[in-house]
Amino acid sequence: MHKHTGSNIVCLVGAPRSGTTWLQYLLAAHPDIKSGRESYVFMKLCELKEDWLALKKNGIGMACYQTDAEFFEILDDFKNRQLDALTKGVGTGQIFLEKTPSHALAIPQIAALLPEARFIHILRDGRDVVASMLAAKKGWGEEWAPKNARRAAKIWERHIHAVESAKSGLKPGQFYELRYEALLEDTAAELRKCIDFLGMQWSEEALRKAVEANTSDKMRKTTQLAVSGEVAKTDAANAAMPDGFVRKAKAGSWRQDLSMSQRFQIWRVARKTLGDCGYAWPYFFL
Amino acid sequence: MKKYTGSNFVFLVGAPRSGTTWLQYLLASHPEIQSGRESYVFSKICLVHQEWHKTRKSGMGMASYQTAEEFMSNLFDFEERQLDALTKNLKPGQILLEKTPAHALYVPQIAWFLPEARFIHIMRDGRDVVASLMAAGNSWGEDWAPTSARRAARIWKRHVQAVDDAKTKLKPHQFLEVRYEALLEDTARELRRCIDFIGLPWPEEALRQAVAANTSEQMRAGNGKALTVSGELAKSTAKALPDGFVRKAKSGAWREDLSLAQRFQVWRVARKTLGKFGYAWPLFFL
Repeated sequence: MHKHTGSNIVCLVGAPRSGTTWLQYLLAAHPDIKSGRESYVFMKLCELKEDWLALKKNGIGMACYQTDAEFFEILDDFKNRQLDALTKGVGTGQIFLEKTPSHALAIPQIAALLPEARFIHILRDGRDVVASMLAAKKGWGEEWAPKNARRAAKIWERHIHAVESAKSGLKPGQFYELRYEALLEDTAAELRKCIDFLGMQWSEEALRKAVEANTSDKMRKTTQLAVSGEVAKTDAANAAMPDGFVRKAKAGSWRQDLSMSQRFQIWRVARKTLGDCGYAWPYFFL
Repeated sequence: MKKYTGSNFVFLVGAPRSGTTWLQYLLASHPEIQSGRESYVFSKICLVHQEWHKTRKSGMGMASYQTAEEFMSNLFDFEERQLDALTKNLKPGQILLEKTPAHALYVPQIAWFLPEARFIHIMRDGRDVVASLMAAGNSWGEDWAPTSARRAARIWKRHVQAVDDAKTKLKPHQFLEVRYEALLEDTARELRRCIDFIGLPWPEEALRQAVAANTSEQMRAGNGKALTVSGELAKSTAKALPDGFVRKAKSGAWREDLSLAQRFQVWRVARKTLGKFGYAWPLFFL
């Protein structure tokens, strides 16, 4: 069992439908970046710890039976074995890129578990995110996507706020943020900045190839990332991307996608956060 | 689990504020029964387990990195070590009585981890439970207890429904249900039933002493059976039971405690469930 500090783990986070998958595919094209499907591994690990501490505060829980040190040793062993599984194929000098959007909500906790983990946050105009979530609801994302614009806007806002308040607690060099719109405008330049943040080398030629291999047109026809473990026993090795997963890959198409009442709902919930993030929106009907 | 079958475990469960603590103190007075504070030792781990399978269904989660065997082996090792801490002072032939009301929601999972574990469910009139939950929510239990009758009724319903679903899957010798009202009416008789179910001898004299030592007056005064606390919280000097924890110890007090509007809310949420368990309530204003 390896003692994981997170030095070879990078968490790619963001509100769902912000382009996390696209950036993941781009980065995972690098030969020394391994990646896989959404693992959700940190959510529950963090909850195990938080739960123990919260119960202890109320004078109950396993803290009545074991010391802090005893529990943290047990939790650490569980964590390390889960992370061994996650990073199985990752060689020396390579990194594992973990993309689970909702890890955005648990950055401080993840950083406490893995003090050397790094984070990349992809930020996208909340109005486009809402439009994309509502589209997902009508198709492949029915199970998880919100049913109305108000809820979708709240999800976006919750993720953005969580990342925003977590940033200040991270060490310099641990956090990098980019815009979906910028990635769309100049994919190669933004990808290069990510790679620089990770401290890796990538020839211009290879980087351009990665960009070309992962355009929205190609991504629509691509397969999901390979799996091992239990899912590999049942899933086809190359499961297709769900239909509609890669959508318009545009910025600003919320103007066509959202009705006036949906715009109003978003505006009410999120105009302040949108403004703070540089997506100023003084009047919802504009 | 390799090391534990659960044959010396008895889980005392029920909706919160159903008299679980009282019955725990009564039973823990038996020299061969050890019991401590609410450990929640299974609640979070059951959620971790559920989440693994839930994300697996979508072809994601840690199941795309590890086999079910690998995950279960890690999870079992974690839980085994937690149970080691829980049973540290348990001698051969003794019973560990674990009282965490919320374990009511995880009975099938606990029985899956520990196939020989036994369960005692204490069931109480949901209307009294609601009154007690709300009293807690407005005082010592504001951290966790609801202040609205509708929510309180839902909590009660969820717990009793979960146990009712689970009990059909347990072997007959694994499950005993006790009514709070019966325990109040003839404490010694119901306590004897529990002890017989657990399979321990207890002279009538000693049992009567336990009843006398754990009346609501005694418990309110802090004189009931003292539960041992080891581990991190052994250093804390907080009282075992907060003020107001032991309340009226009556049945039917909801008639004084609940307003007509609150009764209506409880009636709307829970009248069917109440009826099913013998607390028929055709008209909420009666």
